[in-house]
Amino acid sequence: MAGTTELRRGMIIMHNGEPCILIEKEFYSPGKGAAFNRCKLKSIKTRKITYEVIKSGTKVDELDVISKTVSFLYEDGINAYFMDPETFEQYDILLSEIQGGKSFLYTEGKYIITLYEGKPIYLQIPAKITLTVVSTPEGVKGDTVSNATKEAELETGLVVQVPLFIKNGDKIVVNTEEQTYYSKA
Amino acid sequence: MKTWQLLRQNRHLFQRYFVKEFLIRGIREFFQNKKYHELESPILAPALPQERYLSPLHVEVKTSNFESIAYIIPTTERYNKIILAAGLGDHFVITKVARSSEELSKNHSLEFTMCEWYHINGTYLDLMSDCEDLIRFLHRYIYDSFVKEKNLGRFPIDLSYFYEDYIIYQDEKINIKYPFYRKSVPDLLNEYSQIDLNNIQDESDFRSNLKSKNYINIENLNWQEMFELVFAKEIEPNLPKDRPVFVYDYPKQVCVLTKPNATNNLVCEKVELYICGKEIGNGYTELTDWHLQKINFDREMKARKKLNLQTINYDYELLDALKLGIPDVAGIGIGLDRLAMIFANVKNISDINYFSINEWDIFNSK
Repeated sequence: MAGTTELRRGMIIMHNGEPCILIEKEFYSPGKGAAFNRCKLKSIKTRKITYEVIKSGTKVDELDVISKTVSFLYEDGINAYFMDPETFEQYDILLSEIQGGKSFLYTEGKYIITLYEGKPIYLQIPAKITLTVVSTPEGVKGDTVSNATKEAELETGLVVQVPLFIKNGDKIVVNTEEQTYYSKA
Repeated sequence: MKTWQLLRQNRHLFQRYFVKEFLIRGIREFFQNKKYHELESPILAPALPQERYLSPLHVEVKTSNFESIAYIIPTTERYNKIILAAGLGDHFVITKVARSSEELSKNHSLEFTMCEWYHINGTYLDLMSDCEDLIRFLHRYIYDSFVKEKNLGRFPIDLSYFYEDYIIYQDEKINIKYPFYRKSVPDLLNEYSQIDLNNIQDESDFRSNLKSKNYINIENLNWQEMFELVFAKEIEPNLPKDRPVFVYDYPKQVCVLTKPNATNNLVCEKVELYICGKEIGNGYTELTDWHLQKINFDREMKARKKLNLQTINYDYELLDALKLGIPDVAGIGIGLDRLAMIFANVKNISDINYFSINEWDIFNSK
């Protein structure tokens, strides 16, 4: 059993008799009231999504899983492939099961993968990730104080709006939840 | 990377941090126009109102005069009411407050900026009108402040996301024309949970009702916790987002400092303001009857004991002030960080504060 302070993305809990992955968790404490955790759960068997509110201080039934740091190898449009750099063991996971698909997968990027009964079931994408700009039109000179933005294609194929001063080859920090430009790296 | 380092390289990001500065300036102008006094509140207090879910932070004081704990105020309420007994009248306060939290998240920090105001001879209905006026005023004020800033040419300022009568927050377009939505808790319970407040007054009836709706793990919850659960699970996520919403008339069981409603004895005259699903403000027609206030404090003190929560020094001075008498009044507190998040269109409370706790080096140490 685990307390609610231990709830985290990627953990597996028994919910209504079914093992579920915790996909999202938001702590929530009203100005004057009891605190809760809003959880988005995905059943491992049926892939069905449920939303649950878990009161802080209660116990949840956590199942044993293994989390590993792996590096991204490649994707083939259906699966993404990762490798444990220590054991050279390879894992594949459906792109459709990964937040943002391939948008945040870059070669040699490090990710945390969750294994349940030996099988990879969840890939954790960091909240912010640094990616290289591969294609963006040149900004207009002398316009650095303006607020206009332009499109930039990143190494993963993701396209985001960026400020005009960003150039090809620049590394930028992307907010993965919102899929938006955050800052220059 | 810490915010100050980020700002060094990304000057356009300054704009979102200016929002709270303009909010505070705008609020002062708004209340000065209404001839309100400004109370400068202490941030420390020797005692606080008893409330079961209050988790105040405290500091240890060791001086040659006394050794004791002092609370960092979670709200200025005690000082507002005491100064009302002295006779200050209509007033507002802008200050930092702090609340302990088991987790810091995108909507929660340990400390935040609060504005509270007390409207003499007002009720919670007047607070709703005050909020409508204030939000509309601030919307305009922030835009005007950004126009001035842009004209100064010191920082890149983006005015493209400002609209007359609308606030754009994430993917929502929030209409702030008069009036905002007003929804009572009994109606919301009926509408979203098919629960009649009359039929769940007894704790075991409430529990059976929730069991029939497939709620799990509710055996050990008390009445208040079950209410909070239903509210968090079925009501709050369904509140409309296209306009700000006033939720009012809360069950008497969850109200401590609030005047009971004269026409429905199951509820008290409490109102909360929600904007885009975020709890922004919390106000009441204030309970002025010291005797009733003492009964509520005693009830809450017992509840804290039962729940094994830290004891809070009993606020006899506040009761003394009520005994001497304060005018009929309605008071409300607005969280300025969350309001700034809405006006700045950011998801994370740390994105409107230059210095936030999640940048402390120890933040991710656990």
